[in-house]
Amino acid sequence: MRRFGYYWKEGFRNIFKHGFMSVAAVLIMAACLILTGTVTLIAYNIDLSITDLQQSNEIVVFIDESLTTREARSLGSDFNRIDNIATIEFEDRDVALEKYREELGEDADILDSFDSSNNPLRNSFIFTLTDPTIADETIDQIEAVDGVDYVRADENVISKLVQVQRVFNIVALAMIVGLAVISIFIIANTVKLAMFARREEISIQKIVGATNWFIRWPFVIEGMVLGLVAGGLAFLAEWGLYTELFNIAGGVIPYFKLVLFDSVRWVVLGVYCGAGVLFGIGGAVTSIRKFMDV
Amino acid sequence: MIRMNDVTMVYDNGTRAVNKANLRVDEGEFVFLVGASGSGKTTIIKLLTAEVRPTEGRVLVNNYNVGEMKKRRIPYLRRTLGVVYQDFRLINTKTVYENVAFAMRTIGAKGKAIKARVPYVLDLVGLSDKASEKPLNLSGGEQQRVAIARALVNNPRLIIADEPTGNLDPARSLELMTLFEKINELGTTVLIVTHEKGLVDEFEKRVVMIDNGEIVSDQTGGYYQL
Repeated sequence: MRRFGYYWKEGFRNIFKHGFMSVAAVLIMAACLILTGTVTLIAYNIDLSITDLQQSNEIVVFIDESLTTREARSLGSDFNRIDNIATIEFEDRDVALEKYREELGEDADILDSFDSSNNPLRNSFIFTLTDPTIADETIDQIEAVDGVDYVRADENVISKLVQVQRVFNIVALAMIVGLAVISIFIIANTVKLAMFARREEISIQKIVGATNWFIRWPFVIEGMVLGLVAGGLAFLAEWGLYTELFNIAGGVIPYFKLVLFDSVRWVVLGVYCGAGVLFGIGGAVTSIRKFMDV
Repeated sequence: MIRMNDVTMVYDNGTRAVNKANLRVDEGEFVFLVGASGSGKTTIIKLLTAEVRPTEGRVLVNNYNVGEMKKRRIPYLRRTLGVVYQDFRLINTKTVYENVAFAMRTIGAKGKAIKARVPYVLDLVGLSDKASEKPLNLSGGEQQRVAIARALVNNPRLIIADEPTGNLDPARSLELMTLFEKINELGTTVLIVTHEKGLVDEFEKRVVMIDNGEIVSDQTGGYYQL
């Protein structure tokens, strides 16, 4: 406990002794976190939108008029053999006509002249897919089944969103790696400065028998505190930035809905502070090594 | 205390600093290690403090085998030693008291123990009245006495001094050697590396002479020829 107090005291002493470097390190780290966080949040929103589309987007397969309702229904066994189909629902053309009447409500009278003998609608199957990224292949397989007249699907929208999602995921990953390197470099330099200023003390500590961890801890705490402050600042800035983005972009782009910041607030705070602390410690530990060989 | 058996130390650049050296120093002894510059004296100090490891042979210091001990055990060996250097190696931003207390704090001593021990060692080296001074306000002799106090404060079994009088005038050097003699009389083993013939002769202690990395003489009586 006594040592714990000493480590913290020395860690904070290092931070304030090199105040300018500490502030610079915090600001650069915070900027890195904001950049990466924003891209990651956008990627997350795209992911959610795609999942939403996946759940709500239906592929409707219309069956050739020459097939009777019974024959059309029997095609279900052919569709069942296609891997990527999550759910299959057969819609009888007469049931479809009734549904259509209900949808039209007061205007249903325009269908008064139609009944099962002259029903203009076709028998159909309604599918949802397991993996929308391979919708094209699945539609090809559906179309290849004898008796299928045509298929109605928004596969273009899905594939565009999937492409955007892939790009954002790659950018987010690249930025996370970049952030890690930049942050560790910045913290390492800040800690190096503190260590250089105290190299005499460190060599004396080594001479009188201090363990490496006794010497390291204050510098690790310095890196950790700088990372934590950067994470906290980045969180506050992200909160404002995301809310602004939500107000501007929310609902403007079709098929793209932004989640409320409140719903991800604690996760963002945890990830920002966690990443800040992790990179802070990483930077400190990498810079300490060469001063330890006494 | 110290056992060196057939110790050879060759640096990475090929320099053979110590060659088949044998040395035994027992508890309570006062030993001068003498030799010209570049003779291997400093390498022997580095071997004893585990700053380097022997290429061949065995180095035992206070029951620690320097050649075979794990790196993480080195601090524990060093806690049994007190080392004094020619250039004092004091922290100029700390007071005399803080410099000495720093050595205790570094190994995790309690505040109460520090408060009791530091004034005692400062009194032993005759610096009680300088406790609140910064090192740069002291003379060379006084600074070296602070370094000795720091070496003593953790109650080591062995004090190693590397050219401790190198930066001092003859009168201060004599005073300092007298202090080492007093420390030795209180039970601490003392090994002093020096090339000051006059001082060595004055004290008539055991003198180990090293030349070109080899121990060439080991006798009591104080006289040696460079």
